[in-house]
Amino acid sequence: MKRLMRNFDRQPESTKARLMLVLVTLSMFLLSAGAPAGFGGMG
Amino acid sequence: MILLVAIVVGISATWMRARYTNTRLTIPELEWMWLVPIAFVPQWLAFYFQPTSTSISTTAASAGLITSQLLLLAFAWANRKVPGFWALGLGLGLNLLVIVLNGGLMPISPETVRELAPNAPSAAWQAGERLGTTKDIVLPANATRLWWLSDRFVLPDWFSYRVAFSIGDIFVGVGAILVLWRMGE
Repeated sequence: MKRLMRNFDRQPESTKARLMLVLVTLSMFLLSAGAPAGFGGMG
Repeated sequence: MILLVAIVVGISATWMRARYTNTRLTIPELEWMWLVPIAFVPQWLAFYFQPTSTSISTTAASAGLITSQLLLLAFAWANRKVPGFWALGLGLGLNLLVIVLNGGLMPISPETVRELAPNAPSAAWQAGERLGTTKDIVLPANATRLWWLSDRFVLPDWFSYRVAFSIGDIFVGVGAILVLWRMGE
């Protein structure tokens, strides 16, 4: 994980910002497009 | 929430790949990104935000779910040329299909619910009713249209996290990993 973070820090600012935007968008997509069920809450 | 594991797996693998091959990440230009937060709002209210998820009616929850997934389908279609989006769109489409054909929520059989929560009190869920505040409705398999697309898979017992998921969910998870993996090329 530390290596990943170091690698992330080395990326240009524009790449970091766009990557974060894509990750947030994909996360929202996954939470909304998928329908896994966990008992008593969301999967 | 379990689908977010796909993000962690995808980005970790991509980063290792980029490091190994000494290439820079290529972030895809996504179209209509603004649609995704708009699509997320009704689901957040219906399933995630406790004050509203516990008080919203089943009809409103299913209307919110279908509206939200239609918006996401438009987003997936707009980005169909981005590698991996075919799987995201296919998974979403399969989930939406079985949801629409079964009254607006994702069907789950009583047997699967018992596998999920073998010790739950009998009053905790009822056939024909929404399962807690989830996107699921408990329906017997023989009363479910396209049963094979419903939430019918559960993780093996050795996983402490209990969750049921569908074929569509598998495609959605694989799609997210593919989108992230192709960024390392």
